[in-house]
This record gives sequence, structure tokens and C-alpha cells, in this order.
Amino acid sequence: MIEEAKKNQITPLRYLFGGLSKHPGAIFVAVILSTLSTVLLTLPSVLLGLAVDELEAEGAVTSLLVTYVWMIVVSILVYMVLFFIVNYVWAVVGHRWERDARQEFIEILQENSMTFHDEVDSKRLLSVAMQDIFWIRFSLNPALPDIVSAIASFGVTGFFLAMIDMEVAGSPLPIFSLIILIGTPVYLISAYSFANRIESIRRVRSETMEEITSISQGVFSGIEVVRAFGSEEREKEKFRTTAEKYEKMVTREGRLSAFYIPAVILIAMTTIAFLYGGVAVADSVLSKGSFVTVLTLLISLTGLNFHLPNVLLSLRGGMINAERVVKILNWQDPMIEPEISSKVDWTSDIIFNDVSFRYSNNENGDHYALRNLSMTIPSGSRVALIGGPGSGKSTLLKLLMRLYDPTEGTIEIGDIVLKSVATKDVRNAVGNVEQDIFLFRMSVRENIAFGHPDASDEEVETAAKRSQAHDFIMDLPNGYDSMVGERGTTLSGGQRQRLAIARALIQDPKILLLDDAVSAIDAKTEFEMRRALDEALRGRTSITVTQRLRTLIESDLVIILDKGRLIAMGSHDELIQTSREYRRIFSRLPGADPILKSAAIGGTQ
Amino acid sequence: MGMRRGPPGPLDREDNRRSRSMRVLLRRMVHYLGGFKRVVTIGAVFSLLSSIFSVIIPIILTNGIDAVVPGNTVTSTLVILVVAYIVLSLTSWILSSLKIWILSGAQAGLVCAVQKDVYDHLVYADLSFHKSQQSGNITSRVATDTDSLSLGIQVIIEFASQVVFLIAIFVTLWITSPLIALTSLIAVPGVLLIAGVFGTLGQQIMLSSQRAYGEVSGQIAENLSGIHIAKAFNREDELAENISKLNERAYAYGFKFSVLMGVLMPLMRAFGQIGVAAILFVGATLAVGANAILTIGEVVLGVILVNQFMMPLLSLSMLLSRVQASMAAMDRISDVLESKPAISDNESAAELRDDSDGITFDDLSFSYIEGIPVLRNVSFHIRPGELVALVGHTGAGKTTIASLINRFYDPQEGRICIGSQDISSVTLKSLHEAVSLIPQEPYLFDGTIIENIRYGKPDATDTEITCLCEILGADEFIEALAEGYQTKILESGKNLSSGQKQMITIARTMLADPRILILDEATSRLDAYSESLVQDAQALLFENRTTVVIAHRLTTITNASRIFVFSQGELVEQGTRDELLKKGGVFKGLYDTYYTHQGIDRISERIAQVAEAEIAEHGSIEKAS
Repeated sequence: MIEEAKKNQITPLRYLFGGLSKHPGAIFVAVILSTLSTVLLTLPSVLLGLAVDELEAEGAVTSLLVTYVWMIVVSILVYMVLFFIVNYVWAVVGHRWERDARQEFIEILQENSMTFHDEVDSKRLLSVAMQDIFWIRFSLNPALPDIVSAIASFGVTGFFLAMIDMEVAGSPLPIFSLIILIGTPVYLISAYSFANRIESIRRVRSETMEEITSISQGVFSGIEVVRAFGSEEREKEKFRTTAEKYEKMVTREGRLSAFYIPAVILIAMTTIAFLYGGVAVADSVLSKGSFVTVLTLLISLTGLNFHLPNVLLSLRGGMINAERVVKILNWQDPMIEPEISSKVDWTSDIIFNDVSFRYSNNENGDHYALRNLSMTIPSGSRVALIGGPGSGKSTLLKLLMRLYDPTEGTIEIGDIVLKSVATKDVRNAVGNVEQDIFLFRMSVRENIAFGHPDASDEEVETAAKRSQAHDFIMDLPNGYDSMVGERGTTLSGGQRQRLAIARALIQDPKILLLDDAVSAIDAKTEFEMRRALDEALRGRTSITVTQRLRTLIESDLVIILDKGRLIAMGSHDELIQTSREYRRIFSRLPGADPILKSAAIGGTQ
Repeated sequence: MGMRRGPPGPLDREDNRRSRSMRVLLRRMVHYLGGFKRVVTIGAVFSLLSSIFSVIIPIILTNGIDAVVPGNTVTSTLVILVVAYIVLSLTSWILSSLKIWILSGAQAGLVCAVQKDVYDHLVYADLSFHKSQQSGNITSRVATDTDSLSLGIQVIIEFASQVVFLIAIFVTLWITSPLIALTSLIAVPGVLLIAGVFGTLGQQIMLSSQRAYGEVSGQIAENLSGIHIAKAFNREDELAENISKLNERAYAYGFKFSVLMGVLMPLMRAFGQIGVAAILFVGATLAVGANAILTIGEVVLGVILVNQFMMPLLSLSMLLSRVQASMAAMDRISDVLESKPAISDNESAAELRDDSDGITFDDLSFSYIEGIPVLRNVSFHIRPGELVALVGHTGAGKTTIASLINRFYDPQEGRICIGSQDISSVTLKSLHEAVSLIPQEPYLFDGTIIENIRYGKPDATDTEITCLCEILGADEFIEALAEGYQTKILESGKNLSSGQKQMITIARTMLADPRILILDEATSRLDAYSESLVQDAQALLFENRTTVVIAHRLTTITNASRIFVFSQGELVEQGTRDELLKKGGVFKGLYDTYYTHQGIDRISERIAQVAEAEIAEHGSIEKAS
């Protein structure tokens, strides 16, 4: 289904029933058995009629009557077996569908490029993966088999009524058959149109629920901000409006099952059968037993009224859920993988050739994140990259990792255009230590080995030692086996960063990108961090986004971006003399006066 | 750090263990129901009537069976019965529809009422309550728990009518023939068995299944938030593998449950039909012979009713498990409803005057938990327009001071004045208009950028906002975003950089234009150049404003007019950077440990050792997350 989703746009209907077409044989058998089991469930009504006739005729409890009683018991026992099998088949089909659909859904999401993940709220993705797919499964099982057996009930009832019609001697019209022949389609059509009414309501209801979740999540995560601006009343109002909208939708959805018109159709059918059957019995053309059969059959059909409305709504609701899933699956990825990945000498210079980049959700705008960037990063150099908010520096790093492709221009490494290299190969060669260190809910060891899954324990330890992480890891309760991430051992920012450096070291990338975010750390940690960084940067081309002034001074090359343009590039000594923006960095710093003064003299030369 | 240090609150309970008695919880539920007394009563009556009608209808039909005699002409009785059937059926249909109509509204209204109530309590709950909960948990109090409450409410409403239905059926059977009635009881052990299995094994599988689902959901959430790392290291497949394992487990439990239902459902039918067979046999025996005590119609009635007998019995016993879940939800909701409300206005509270400025702490002591003082006898005065930096090790009480000035808590001893007004005697509204707090992590709401900035002053015009951003130097990057000021902020700003987020919070606060500013300085996640821009913007923000900064940056403490040094809840030193450095006391140690290396000098092994010793004594300032 992955391929299908990528190439053709799949429709909600195909998505919904895709699971069934996988097991056509099983479904066929299930439908047959389901019909059979409906026959068995209906049989007692017929047997009851026969028993009544026997009773009327003989006026005694004959052995035939006792046989009928036993037949009722036997038929229900066989029914149990059949039902179990049918249910088992549907359960297999339904639950497997759910499992596979969820797996495929999340795999497609993970394959999608970062453009997708930047655009779509992950809360929404999660709720589609869990809720919507659950409800679709619910509409496949139990809702769909319930509908199958409901339709079978109509069919089987019709069959028995037709048999009874044949018994009615001399009647000009097969009235019972007509009742069911006319009544059934009318019932089903009105039931279908009833189910259709849920569509808009269910959609708005789901969206409003999302809104409620999002409002409360937002407000309570930021409760201090709410308090600080004294805007409790405003937030209350906002929630009130949404909660009331939700109330309205829930009410409307609940009220759908009221005044279920199809029930009236069944009442009409029963009334006609009651009257006609009564007359026929009086005319001695119909046995009392058959009359009883007709009535009990129709009463059984009435029993469907309790269950069928909800089932129909579930099935129709499932379609809406399927629409939501399909809308996400059909997203078209602008990033195209090359047919054959070009070989690259990663130790070459990195050349930016008039590179411009625009995020895709802004197709008509002229808001470029990067504009006409041309520069060469010499092989093996230590580069510091800085720039104001929105200057495009993180975009630049993302382009180098091929999380995105340039909108215009090319990035070349050793004469090879990066676009012609498979993302997998790019990311093997280009390592990354990001700003907000993300650690998975795994052990420390697994988190470090994330950069190189086959790494031995020794390799993990070596990497940890080189990144100055080994000592604090050994102090953790379970050493390298301590769990980190959510609900795991809590680590400080400095510790997390050193783990991330270890993770990058073990990957041993040719080019290392490093967003070096420093939180408030002490001199001891800082000292260790700088040693870890030195270790990480040795022997490869590196680009560091940094706050450390020391790093700026020690870099081979400093690049300053502003509003997506390159505004200055050179060594610290050059820039302190030539760049106003660069000098600004040091202006508020105590003890920086000598540097600036000497530079000022240099600058005027 | 500091802010997270609150009293321990009720912890996250997602399981079904309850901490309150059934009575207390039921009373609370009934209390909410009370708001809908009339509709609920009417609904219950309708429900009751339609139950009774559904017992009468079979009686009419079976009377019809007896009324027609082969060979006789059609009696008027049959016609009357047919008419009665139509009338009763339609009435029953209308009644049950009306019931659904009314109760749907009541149920939704009730959920809405609880939602609002919970939400209001949360908005006004003491900050310590929020600190003790994850926002995800709080959200499920508002969204999920209220929903499962509604199921419980439905059960309570339906309970009466189901019981009446049950009694009506039994009485009818008894009137028909006590023997038939007793025979119908053959189904009871069956129903109890089913209910028992459902309540134990079924519940157990359902809970395991929910847990397994929860794990899948948690893993998916984690994979989505770590997607950039997975991509960076080419590890998407392994992560999908992780999900696959959990997914397989969830599948196994879900499947098990379905199979169990596949046994229980036909079993339920089977017991019904065995009841039918038994009644047919017993009824037939009673309906034959010279002194037959039953008519054929009555036997058929017994057959029909015994089938219906099953339904209320089953739904009653199965609904019980729903009530359990609902009670657990009510219990969790009660945690919120009983949480301590935040401080509210004094009855005699006055407005904070426009000319009140400057902050005075007057011999103030404070503790979150009795017996563990956080601040001790703190006294100081901050002049209007002054910039004061607070420094100190973890646990020194800096963040508490920020919270106290905002009056998130009241001190046990001493007082805080703005100008000459004690803040405990002014209205919170006027206090928060004059005082603004910028927390350490820039927090943005879901919504557009302009909406987020406007949060500081709801009636600000667009031009006002864009002008302000221009002054701050924020307009350039905002306009460079895809949709400029209308750019939607996702997940509190995943699509923005830290620098952008900080600039937006600065703009928001400047728009609010408070007289007094309390800033818990972000532990800088910016690159050197962004940092210099943010500092320029902040300098504008601080200008002519009384400002208290919990300082993490070397430049901030350099530019502060005074530095207050806190140690273990006491103000131990104050002065300018140079004065304090000369003194060689607590500040000197802090300075060497946390600030010096932010400069341009190479860090030496000696300084690292000094820092290590300092931390060994006081603990690290670094925030564990």
C-alpha cells in the first residue's frame, strides 16, 4: 500500500475496504457462514410455528413436538459454533488490518521528508494513527459483519415468509413475500440515508474535540504566561465557546438515533402481516402455527432496530475517518530520490552555487529562507556559522543533510551535485549534533549506538570517553544500561549534549554539523565540553553554530548570515576589522574593549 | 529549577484505583445531574413508559393469535388488536425517540458543564497544582475523563428503566403462569455467567489492551518528535521495528478480546433460545389436555418475553463495568475540583496606583512546605527604573522571589510593596497589568505570530504591533517567514528557532508595556550573533523600567546597576559586579563558576577545578530535564 499511496492517490473507499480484498476467500466463507448462522437463528421461529400446529392438531405433547424442542436447542448450538468461526475470521481480518494499517501509516510518515513534518502538527498525526485507524477498524469489525448479518436476516426472513405464502392456498397475491420484498429495500434505503446524516456532524465533532485538546494543552503548558498577563477570563471565554460548540455537536450526534424512521417501516410491515395473517387464519387458509412463525420472525427483525442505527453510523463514520487518513497518506513529497546514488569524495570542498531556498508551504510568496548563497567551504576546515533569528543558518544545515533540496542553485561536493546522492548516503557521511538534543527512550548505550547500530560495547565506551561522557555515565544508577528519555533518568543539558556528541563520534561522519547550544553551565562542565568538541571536530570538515566566543576566535572561517544572505565571511581577525555586525557581538562584553579598540584602529587603516 | 519546586501534588493516576469512596463520587455525579433535574426526570419517565409498552406489545400480538379461530369470520377483536398494535408501537417509538432526544442534550450539556467547571478550576488553580502535573495529564482531565463520565451518567439514567423493564417482564410472565415465569429463570445463571466472565476476564483483557494501545501511542509520539534524528542517522527502519513489536502486542490483546466476545455473544443468544425451548416444552405441557391452563397465545407470549428478558439483565450487568470506569474518571476530576485555588482578590482590594513603582521586600520569609523555609528575612528596596540582577546557586530562592512579586503565592511573614502599596491589598488585575513576568522558556500559544504578540495587549492594532516589531528589529525575520505575521505557530513553536521565539516573547511583553519587569533569563540557546541582537532588543525592553533579572549571562550582571546575591534563602551580598568581585565572597565563587567562561578567555584547568569544588559544595545550577 505504500507504493500505491505514493503514486496514485488512493480513495477513502479503497482504503477502507483494502483490508478485505486481501483475504477474499476468508471473507466469502465468512459471509456464507454468516448467512447460515442467521438461518439457524431464525429457525426457532419456524420450529415454534410447527410446534404450535402439532399442538393444535394433536392436543398433546407428542414425540414430534419434543423433537421440535430439541431441534431448537441443537440449532442454537450449531449457531454458536458457526458464529464463533465467523467472528474469528472477521476478527483476524479486522485486527490485522488495523495493525498493518497503523504500521504502514507510521512508516509512510517516517519516510516523508522533513517538509511534511514541518507542516503537519504531530498531535494530529498521532490522533489519526491511533483514533481514526481504530474507528476504521471498528467499522470493519464488528460493524460490517453486523450489517452483513442484518441483511442476511432480512433475506432469510423473506425466504421463510415466501415458503409460508406457498402454503396459503388460493390467495391471489403472495402478501407476506410482498411485505418483505417492498419493505426491505425501503427499510435499507431509509437506513442508509439516516446514516448519511452523521457525516458533517462527525467531522465537526472530531475537529472540535481536537480544538478542545489543543486549547487546554496550550493554556496549561503556558499557565504562567496566562497568569502573568492576567488573561484568565479571556482564556475561560475561549474555552467556553469551544466547549459549547462541542456540546452542540455531541447532542446532534446523539439525537440522530432518535426518530429512526426505518423502525416505523418495520411497524408497518408487522401490522400488515398481523392483519392479513389473522384474516388468513380465520379463513382457514393459514395454519395458526405459520401465523405464529410470521409474527415471531417480524418481531426478531424489530430487534435489529436497537443495534442497527449505531452500526450504520459506525460504518459511515468509518468513511470519514478514512478520509482523514487518506488525506495524510496522499501527501506528495517534493523531495525526489535519485535512481542511482552518485559516489562522492566527501573530503572535498563544499561549494554553494547560487543557492536559494524557500519552504514549500509558501509557493507563491517571495519569502526566501536563503537567497543566492555562493561560497566555498574548504575541505577539513573548522567553520563557525552565526546569524540572527530567521537568518537561514539552520536551513543551511538542513540542506547539507539533504533534509531538503535547494529551490534554486546547487550544492556540490567534489563536483557531485548533492541532489544526485541518495539521502541515506548523505546522512551516513554528514553527522549532526542538533540544538535541542533529542534522546530516545532507550538505554544510554543504545542512544549512543544510535549513530552506528552495530557498534560493540568497547566502541560505545570509547566514544563516550572521547566526548567526556564516560565519567557521568558511570555515575548513573545502571551505568550504560540506564534508561534515558521521557520517564528515564534525568540528564542535564550539558550531559545530553555530550551524549549527542558521542552519538555523532561513533558514526564517524566526514562532515560534522553542530548546533552548539550552551545552557547555563559551570566552568568545569564547560571545560569538559570544549575538550569534547575539540575531539569531535578533529580530522573533518565541521560547521558549528555557536555561542562560544572562544570558538569564533579559534575557527578557520566565520560565516555570518542575515535574512538568508551571506553578509560576512572570513577569519576572526579579518572580521573584527571589517564587519560591523561581527564587532557588535563583542560590544556588550566586559573585557572586550582591547580587542575592539585594536580592531578599530585596524579598521580605519 | 526553582519554579518546579512546589509542594508534591496528587500524582498522575491513569489507572482505575480510586482514592474516594463510591458514595462521595456518586454524590458529586448526582450533583451535576441536579442541574438537569427536569429534563432527566422527563427522560427517565419516557424511558420507563417505552419499556412498559415494549412489554405490552407482545401481549397484544399473542392475544391476536388466540383471537382468530379457523373457520370463524374475522372478529372485531382482531381489528381492535391491530389498531392497538399500531397505536402502541408508534407511541413507544415516539417515546423512546423523545427520550433519546432529551437525554442526548442533557448528557452533552452535563459533560460540557463538567468540562467548563474543570477548566475554570484549572485556570484558577494554585500554580503548585500545575507544577505537579504534566500538561498532557491535565488535558486528559478536561477532554477524556469528562467523556467517560458521560457514559456513567447514561448508565445511571438508564438504570431505573432497565430495572422496571425487567420487573414488568417477570410480572407479565408470572400473571401468564407462575410456572412459565419460573421456567424463564433458567436463563439467569447463564446471564450471570456471561456477566461474570465479561467482568473479570473481559475487563482484564480490555485493560491490557488499553495499556498496549497506550504504549503504541507513546512510541509513535516519541518517533514523531525524534524524526529529525532518525533521519539524520538513517534509522527510520529500526524505529518502525520498535512500533511493530508494540503494535503486534496491541493486536494480540485486541484480537483476544474480539474472540472472547465471539464466545460470549452467541452464548448469550444460546441461553435465550434454551429458555425458549424450555418454555415451549413447559408451556405445551400446560396448554394441552382437558384442563389446559394456558392458551397457545400465552405460550408464544412466554417465548417472546423470555428472549427479551435477557437484554436488560445483560445490559445491567455489563453496564456495571462502565460505571467503574466512570467513577475512576470522576475521582480524577475530583482531584482537580478539590485543588487549592490560587490567591484571589481581597474584599477591600484597591487598584495599584499608576505612580506606584519600585519594589520593597520587608523582612519577608516564605516556605512552600511548612518547616522548610525557602526565603528567610529578606529585605531590600529596588528603586523605580533600576535594573537588578539576582544570582545564586540552585535553591537560593531566586525564582521564588520572581513568583512572589507576581503574587503567585503569599509570604508567611513580611510583605512586598510596590511603591507604598502592599501587593496583598491591591487587585490582581491591576498588579498583573503593572508587573510582567517572562519565564525562562519562551512560551508561545498555538495560533498566529500576531496573535501571540497581541496576547500582551488584546486591543492592540496591527500597526501598533508591526511598529513595535520594527523598533525591536523583529519585523525582518517575521516578514521573512512564509506567511509573515500570519504564520501559524505549531506545537509551541517547533517551526521557529529559539532566537525567534525569544524575540516574540520580548515583543509580547513590550506591547503589554508593564512598569515592572521580572525576567527569568533564558539559559541562552542562541548563537553569538542572535544573542547580540536579542540583547539589544532587551536593552530597549529594560529601558526606564524597574527590572529584576534572574541572571545567567555575563553581560547581564555586568550591566546591572546592582546585583543581589542569594544563598540558602538569604540575601547575603549586594553591589555592582566590580564591588562584589573585590569583596571576594560568595559572589566571587559564583562568578568564577558560572560567568567568567562566557567571555573570550581560554578556560584553564585551574578554573575548572575551582568550579568543581564550588559545585561539590552547592550543587549545580544546571537544569536536569
